[in-house]
Amino acid sequence: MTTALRITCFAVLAGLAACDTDSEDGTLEVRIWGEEFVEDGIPAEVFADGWSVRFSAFLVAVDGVATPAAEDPTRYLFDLALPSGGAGQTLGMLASPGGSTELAYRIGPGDPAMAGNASMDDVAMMDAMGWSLFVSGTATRADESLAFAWGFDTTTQYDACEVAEDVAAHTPTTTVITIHADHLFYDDLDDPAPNVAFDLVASADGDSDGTVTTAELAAVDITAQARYQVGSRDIRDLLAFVEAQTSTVGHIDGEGHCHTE
Amino acid sequence: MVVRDVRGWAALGMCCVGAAAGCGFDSELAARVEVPVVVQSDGMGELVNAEGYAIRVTTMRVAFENVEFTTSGEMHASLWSPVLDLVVPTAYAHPGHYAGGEVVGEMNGRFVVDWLDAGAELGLATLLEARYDGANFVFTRARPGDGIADEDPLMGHTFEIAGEATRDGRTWTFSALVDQDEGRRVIGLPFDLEVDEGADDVLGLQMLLVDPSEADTVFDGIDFAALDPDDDGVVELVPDSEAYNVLKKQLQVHDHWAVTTE
Repeated sequence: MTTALRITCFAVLAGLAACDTDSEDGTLEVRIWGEEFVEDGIPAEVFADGWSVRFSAFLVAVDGVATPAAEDPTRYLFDLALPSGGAGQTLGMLASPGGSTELAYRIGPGDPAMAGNASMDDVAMMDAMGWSLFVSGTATRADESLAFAWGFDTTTQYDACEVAEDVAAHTPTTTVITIHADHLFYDDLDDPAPNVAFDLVASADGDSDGTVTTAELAAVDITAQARYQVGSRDIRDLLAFVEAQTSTVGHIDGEGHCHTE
Repeated sequence: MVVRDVRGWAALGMCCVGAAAGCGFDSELAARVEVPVVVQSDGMGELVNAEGYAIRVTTMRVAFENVEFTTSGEMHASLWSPVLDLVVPTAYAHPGHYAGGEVVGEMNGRFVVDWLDAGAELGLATLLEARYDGANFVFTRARPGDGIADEDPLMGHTFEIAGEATRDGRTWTFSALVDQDEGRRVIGLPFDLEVDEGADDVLGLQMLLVDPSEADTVFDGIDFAALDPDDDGVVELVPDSEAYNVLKKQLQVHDHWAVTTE
């Protein structure tokens, strides 16, 4: 990170202190993490077709982070590909009811981010393109190598994300918005145990220039594919398929699920 | 022929009662209506697909299970929410997790249905009083215990389809045994009904070969002549072929299914 937006998110806590809480309420330290898959790459054993993926950038625009007691007005842009040592990136502190609690957040386009760990150039790009998510990297299999750089403008509201730990009264409890990068390479929109696959994406490199673009994904008709099933969704090309998967990447505390809209 | 698993829907119809009791909720408050469900075959008529074939279906047998009836609106009585919370799946951000309206009615069990057998009884749906605007069901594959013979061609499959396709004076007979993934859901069937206590509606589970809103057919994309290289007039849609994959996916689209009221 060069010109990072190192706004100290802990200040948010002060701004939210006005929320009604009782003496048993606590504090949530909210972090965001793309797990090892984003920071270190998705290894070949995860892929059904032998590819592996390393990300050079994984930009996520987040806002509307809230507990039942407080809402963070800040808009963030994080590059989850930057190393965090396994701890994830710090987002902020929020007042929360004690005991079991829930978190909400949105991944979507919006105003320029004011906080996060992304560079100002990244902020400007996401704002100019109207993107909520941008991923770039390289897929490799044996002597094959393909680059990709994809931006998405999808909006997903994640609600009722159940925080794994109970919130204590006097000690901040940590919760982690967890982004599952492998979903972008799932080969089914409904199967709860889809394959992680890259072959069809690789086949999209129509001009054989070594880079798969979103335009090339859009040119791949998936209607006659044995995999890449879409149920009742009107999705016919690979770009629309991957776009649909972007609404599934958000989780909490690892494998915890959220309700989505 | 309709094979129904009475134990399935009866037991699961009682689920609401059990669930209510389990959370200390007075099940007497949860007004439920049992409504017959039958096969609705009006959507099985002749059609012309996008490739210009006039198609007549002679066999359409389907294995499925667990029909859910959903609402996106308000319930009549908020007191029911303790019951509903226990029976309503939620939308999660992960492939395979349920997405749709709130489930407030169900007809559970396994079914093997001949969709040309109009009016055949499927079972009783248990519906809570509500404004209904959708339905879901789950594909399965026929198996022993579903009431069909071991040598039945549908055994182990989801669809048995056969018919005739005619274009330019030439007719092809076609057949397909289509396998949907176990548990593959069809979500969001159109269903518009206000259910009140004492309702005497009969529901029809309908398959629509032609999407009534967009005129797409389940056989669009299938060029029967191109699938008949030996020119014998017989076409079998086999797994992993493009035509099979297209048909398999189009059969998952909720636009080709509906719940009617009789």
